[in-house]
Amino acid sequence: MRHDKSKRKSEWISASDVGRSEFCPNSVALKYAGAKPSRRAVAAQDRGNLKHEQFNRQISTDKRCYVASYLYGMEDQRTETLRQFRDNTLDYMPGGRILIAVYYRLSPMVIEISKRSSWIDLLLRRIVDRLVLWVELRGKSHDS
Amino acid sequence: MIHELLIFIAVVAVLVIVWRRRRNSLVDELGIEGDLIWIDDGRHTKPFFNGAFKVFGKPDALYRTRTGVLSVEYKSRNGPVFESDVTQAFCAALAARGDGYRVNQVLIKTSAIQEVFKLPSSDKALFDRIQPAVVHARQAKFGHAVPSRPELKKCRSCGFRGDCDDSAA
Repeated sequence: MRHDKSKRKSEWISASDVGRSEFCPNSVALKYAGAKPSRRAVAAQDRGNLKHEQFNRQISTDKRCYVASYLYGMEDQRTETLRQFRDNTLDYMPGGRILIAVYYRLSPMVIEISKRSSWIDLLLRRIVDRLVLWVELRGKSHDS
Repeated sequence: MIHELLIFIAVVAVLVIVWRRRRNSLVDELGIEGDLIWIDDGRHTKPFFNGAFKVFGKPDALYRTRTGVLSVEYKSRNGPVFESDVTQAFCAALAARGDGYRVNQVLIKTSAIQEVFKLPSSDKALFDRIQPAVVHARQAKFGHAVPSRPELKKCRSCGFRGDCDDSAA
């Protein structure tokens, strides 16, 4: 088996190697000696990664997904605009952090209500659309 | 005026009911009452480093709770929490402490169960708890002889059993 010496220079050790070492130190030695994991193990790892992603999505939407993400999606430009407004402007304003905290507290409830009522959903969308427009105009006026 | 007041009270009551339901569902999900402050979003999320103990790692999530910071380690398998899970989670918590998160609890969740562990308050005491595994991992990394722990169940689940002379499977 080929020993990969470049990986061995540093004393830094990962938490997953430490956990694996508790499981069986020899498995860590085999890994660093260049042993290839079995196809079954690789498939199990892939399944695990997928479940991890699902788990992360589950907890992040439970707690982090705020109104804009709900309305437009996590990757939408409008969501990003509001995210930047939160991080670059609101966060530095007096009372801004309190406002953000209140917003995070209330947003799951607002989303829940919005899901159940189409007219509240529409109202919410209009309000947030206007907010996005205001933030964009504000950004443009600051740039010029 | 009375009508408006009644409508207002009704709306507030509905909001409180929905909020409580939502809150309970969040607590039920992981049993955590706290704010999510960090999450491992995959390969592009950098791990935490603890220079004092030369360990690095990523928990799956960090929550700020009333008492401190709780680290979450998720295992996708449908089984119990093993000692190796605890050691890995403790090591990741130690790494997170190196980056300023004062982790005082660890939650390990499998598809079947979840367990919460309290951590020692000092980093040294936390390191002492995982030190034997860290020493073995470093020895293994540097190519020194390390022990095997062959057990039928363990070896069956090990991805390197094909290359292991001590395999019990």
